[in-house]
Amino acid sequence: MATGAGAGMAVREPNTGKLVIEGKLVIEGLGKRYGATTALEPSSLSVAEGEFLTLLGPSGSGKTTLLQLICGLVEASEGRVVIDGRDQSNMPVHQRDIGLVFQHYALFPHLTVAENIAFPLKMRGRPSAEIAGRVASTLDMVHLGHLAGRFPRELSGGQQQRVALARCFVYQPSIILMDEPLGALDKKLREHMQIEIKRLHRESGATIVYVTHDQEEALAMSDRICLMNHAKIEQLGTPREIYERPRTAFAADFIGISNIFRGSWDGNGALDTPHGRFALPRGAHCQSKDAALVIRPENLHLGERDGNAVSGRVSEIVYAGSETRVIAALGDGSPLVLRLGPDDPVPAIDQAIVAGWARDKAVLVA
Amino acid sequence: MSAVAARAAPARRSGFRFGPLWLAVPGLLFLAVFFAWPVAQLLGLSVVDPENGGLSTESYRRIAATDVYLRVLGITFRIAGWTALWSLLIGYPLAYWLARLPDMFRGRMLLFVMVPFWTSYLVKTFAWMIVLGRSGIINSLATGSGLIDQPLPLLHNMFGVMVGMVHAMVPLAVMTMLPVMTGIDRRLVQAAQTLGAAPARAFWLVYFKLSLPGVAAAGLLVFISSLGFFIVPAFLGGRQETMLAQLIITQVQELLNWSFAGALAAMMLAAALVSCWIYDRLFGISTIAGGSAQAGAGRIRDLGLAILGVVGDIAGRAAAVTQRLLGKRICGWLLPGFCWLVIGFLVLPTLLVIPLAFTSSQFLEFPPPGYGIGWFRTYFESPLWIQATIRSFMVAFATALAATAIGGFAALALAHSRTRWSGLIFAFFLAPMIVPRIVIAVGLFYLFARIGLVATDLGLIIGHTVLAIPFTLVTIAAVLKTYDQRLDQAAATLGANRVRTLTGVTIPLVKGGLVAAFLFAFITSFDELTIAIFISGGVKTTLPKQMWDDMILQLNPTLAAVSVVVFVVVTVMLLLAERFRSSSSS
Amino acid sequence: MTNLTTKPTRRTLLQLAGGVAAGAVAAPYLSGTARAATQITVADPGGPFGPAFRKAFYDPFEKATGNKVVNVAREAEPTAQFKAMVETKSYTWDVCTLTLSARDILKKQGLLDPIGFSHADVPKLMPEAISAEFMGTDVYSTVFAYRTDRVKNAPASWTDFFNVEKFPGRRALRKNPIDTIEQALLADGVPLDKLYPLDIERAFKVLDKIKPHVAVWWTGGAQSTQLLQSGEVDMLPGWNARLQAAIDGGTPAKIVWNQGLYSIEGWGLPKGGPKADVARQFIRFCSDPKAQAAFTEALAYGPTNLDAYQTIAADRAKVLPTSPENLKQMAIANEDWWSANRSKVTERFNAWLLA
Repeated sequence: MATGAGAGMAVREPNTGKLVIEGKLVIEGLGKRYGATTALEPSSLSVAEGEFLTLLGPSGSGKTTLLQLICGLVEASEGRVVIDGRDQSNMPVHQRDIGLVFQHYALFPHLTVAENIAFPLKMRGRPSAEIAGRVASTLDMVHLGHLAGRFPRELSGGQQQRVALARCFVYQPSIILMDEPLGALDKKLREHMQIEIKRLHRESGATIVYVTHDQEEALAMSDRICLMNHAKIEQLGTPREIYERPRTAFAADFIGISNIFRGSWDGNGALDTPHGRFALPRGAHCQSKDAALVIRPENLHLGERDGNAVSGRVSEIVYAGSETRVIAALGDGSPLVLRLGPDDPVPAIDQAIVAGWARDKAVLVA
Repeated sequence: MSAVAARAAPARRSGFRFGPLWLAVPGLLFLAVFFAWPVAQLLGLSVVDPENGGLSTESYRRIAATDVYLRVLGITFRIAGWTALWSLLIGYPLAYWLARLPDMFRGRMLLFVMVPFWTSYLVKTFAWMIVLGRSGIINSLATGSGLIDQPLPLLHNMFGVMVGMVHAMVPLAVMTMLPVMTGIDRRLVQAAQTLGAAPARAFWLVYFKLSLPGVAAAGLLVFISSLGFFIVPAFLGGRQETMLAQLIITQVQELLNWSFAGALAAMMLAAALVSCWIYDRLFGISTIAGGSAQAGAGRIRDLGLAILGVVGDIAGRAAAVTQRLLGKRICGWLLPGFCWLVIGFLVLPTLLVIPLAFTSSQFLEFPPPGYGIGWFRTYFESPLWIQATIRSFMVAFATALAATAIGGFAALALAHSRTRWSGLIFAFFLAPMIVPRIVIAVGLFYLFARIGLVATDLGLIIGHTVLAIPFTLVTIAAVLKTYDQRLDQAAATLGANRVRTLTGVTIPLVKGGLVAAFLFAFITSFDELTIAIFISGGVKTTLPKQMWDDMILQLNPTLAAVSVVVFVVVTVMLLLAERFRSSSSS
Repeated sequence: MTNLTTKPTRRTLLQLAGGVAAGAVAAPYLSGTARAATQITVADPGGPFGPAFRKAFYDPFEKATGNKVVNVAREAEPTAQFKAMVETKSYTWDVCTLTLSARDILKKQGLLDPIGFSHADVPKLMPEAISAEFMGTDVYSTVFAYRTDRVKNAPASWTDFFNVEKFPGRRALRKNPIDTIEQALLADGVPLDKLYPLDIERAFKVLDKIKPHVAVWWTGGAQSTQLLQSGEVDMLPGWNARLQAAIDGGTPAKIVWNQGLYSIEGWGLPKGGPKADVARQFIRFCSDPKAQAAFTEALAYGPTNLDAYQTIAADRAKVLPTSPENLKQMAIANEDWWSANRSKVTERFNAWLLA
């Protein structure tokens, strides 16, 4: 039933058979339905203490729903949310020890920066001396000490973002959830803030569940990525695992640039495709006859390798500083992307080329 | 681009940066001639001796000689204040609920909220007499069921006045608060909850605080409008519920002492201005048009936040207890339940009027002893009633057109202008709302009598337009505030001139606001009595004036029949407009 | 049109005048019809008056003279409009109904034109009903009524009305010193013919006693009808026709004429009006007893021309203020006293209400 992922965190106790929960946050069979539409299929997931987990997927893939279910803003149709070993499924939002950084920050416009940051501490009834101290130190942590008395509308986008982060880190919640927090920033600032968030993560040791639709961001920041599609978990793993060993064509396509050849698996070591018969990685196995072969651009080279070769005509050459990308049109017009190293010769536009790959560098997916 | 530059250049060259404010000039002139001048003249009369025409402070000395006028002023303010408070208390949850509904559903619910607008308040007042009276519906039900032995005193006291006034004012309060509430980012409340605030606390600390500008604007509008009421307190009130407007009318109409009337009007105006000044200090007058409230000076702001904190704390605890006692499911129904009750309260008098219109009795009695369509026949066979109905529709339509145009241009001017003049001009445009109607009516009558506009349709239209301009300006200004002016700039760069930009880009995009402004102005005129009493001269009778004549002398169910006809006509018009709007937008 | 109506008109009018000063009456009519038909605008109190006046006065006058009468509703107190009209010479109305108090105010300010005939011309007119600038068409009376189904012990005087112990029942009074002061003094034993000048101090002492027992203070005539009809109160003072309207509609109530105060409504001319001739003709026409009798069929106001009772049914006469039975129990309200003191007494009354 449940699209299981991250197994190994919940272990059955040998004597009683009871589930023993391990991990900071454990989600069991959590699902959400609105009438006939399913926002999230029952899903299970476990996040370890101090981990940075990213929920990645296109819009409508259920990642934001999962986030809202975790923090309790949306009531689950089924399943459980366990934080620090305690079932939080029926706990109202404000009593779950969770921090949420909103997509557009959701700073309180009527409160100053300092008051915004003090808000969660006040809600917890902390003594005012402690509040003042922690607000000041958190402001310093995000380098906004000089703006404490300003109102949010007087800040730039990046500054507002830092306030939102500070407001979340200041009360050291068990888990910090971030809902596309950098979506509204420009590229330069976004990259800067990515590093900033990583730093905060490292310094605070917080457990973070991060939502984004930007695969580069996910690769750059995460300990693990939970790839989602069609309201369910598609693949869960480290960035390297997901990039190098995608389990589905979707995963391969969504993360990084991929050349995908669909075809039929002969049950042994080869795949028949409209572009030819290709040798599969040694030991490759697939559940169905319909399968696809994924080759990353950096694994494609000019000339045949291991008997794998496709021919096409160069249609575009993109120079991107550290690399040069060549886009060629195959016989049926579909594109092929390969990445040239700095020393490789660059073909000319319209030049006919043959590209090949080492069989073990390709991945067979369903 | 070139068009903008070319037009902007001369203004800069002249060194006088009036800029787009020129668009407000027609409105300024209109209000100067038909509002400021007549009112000033009336107030001027207060220092003129009625006997010899010389200067005299006699009228003011007379006011000072007794405490009765100050006390009536106090009562007027007390009634207006309570009305504002209750309208907010009842209107706020309703507006909150409406703001959370999906757009489609909200539009439909708003029609219910607007229902009282389409029933003349003269008729509503009598409906309340039938509901609240000693042998009225409530008391009959309560005594009949053995709930109580003695009829409850619901009428001819402060309670009766409050029911009538709050009923009339809740729609205005809701309509003013709603845009502010729909503009509040709901994620802010969620954010507060994730940060550890219980839902009730999050509401008070965040949502309520952010809705305060709307609340304040609604409060001021209701308060000022209530200051000029006199019919509801006269009919539903008791010995003590006397409004200053009644005394002014008596002085003007019965005692012919215009000097004293002017002095009373000046006193009322001064008091109204003081309230506006206090309001401005606390919230900033521009919040009426949906502007953001001033952040406020340090200590007041801190105090406000501290109070909200305490309220939120208490509310949080109370909510927790309630939830434990009633259970989650029932608690979830509290708000919709309350809102449906309020809607029932708003719709009740109108529903009551329907059976009354079909009564066979000579009187407005409930339940009717028998049914028939006799009173509809009386209505349709009476040229007086039919003419009054047609005139009311025509005058209201012309008023709505004029007021929407004038208010729209003024709003446009103010939206584009950044000079220090704009605040002043805005205040001037709002002034007809702040000056009690009776003062405007008498002043206009005095002016119109000399230029032959008494007893003309034009006179009525001008008078009603004066009253409607503040409403249209406020409504359109609120929409323009959220309007992205870069769209205009885009149109200009694409080669559209000012007029083409206005007709092709701005107007279609702010259509919703224009329609709302038009309806506001239409209703203002359609239900207006004070100006009609003075300007119509009995010749050009409007519907409210015709009803008022009946109300003074002999009331019969024609009034109810008329109300039903008007209600049906207006409902059909609104539905057609809605159908037209939805088909053109899809 | 004019030619056609000339002859029959004269005959009708001569008949109407009933031989009373026929010559004097005929002259103005002749002069009126000699010209082209004129349209005059007449301001009446509106409401039920419109149709009743139309049937009794406007239509017969149009028929008799060929002139047109357009009627409009005037304000309850038209003095302000009247004043503005004369001062700005924008004559919206050619003739207007006035109460005696309005007549006095307007006369004092010189805003009325003479009506052009005198009591000698219509000797059966009540003498109070005619002056140089005014002719009364109907008499209304301030009396009180009680619900016969609720009030078992029938009150018969203002003394009874003010006696809440002996005559229990919910009461209303008018939220106006006019009438209310007189009622208090009558209740305190002041004889009807010695009311004026009103003893204000004495009146307020009496009013103090009844103040807590007054459930409703009414402000408009229609409201008094409604209060009686709906049973909101059990007894209340009011204008006889308004109270009669409830009784005619089936309300079990009775009017007490004893110690009633009557007053007169009638026509006045705005000074300098352009159609004053035809307007005068119209006013003169309204003194006709048959026309006045016709008016009482619709509304329970008393005719000022007492000859009208010759054609009024006995049943109807009983509920009219000027029928001999009722008239002898009542006196006329003194407008002079009020026009001199109204402002001051109103102020005091308002203060008393609020206290």
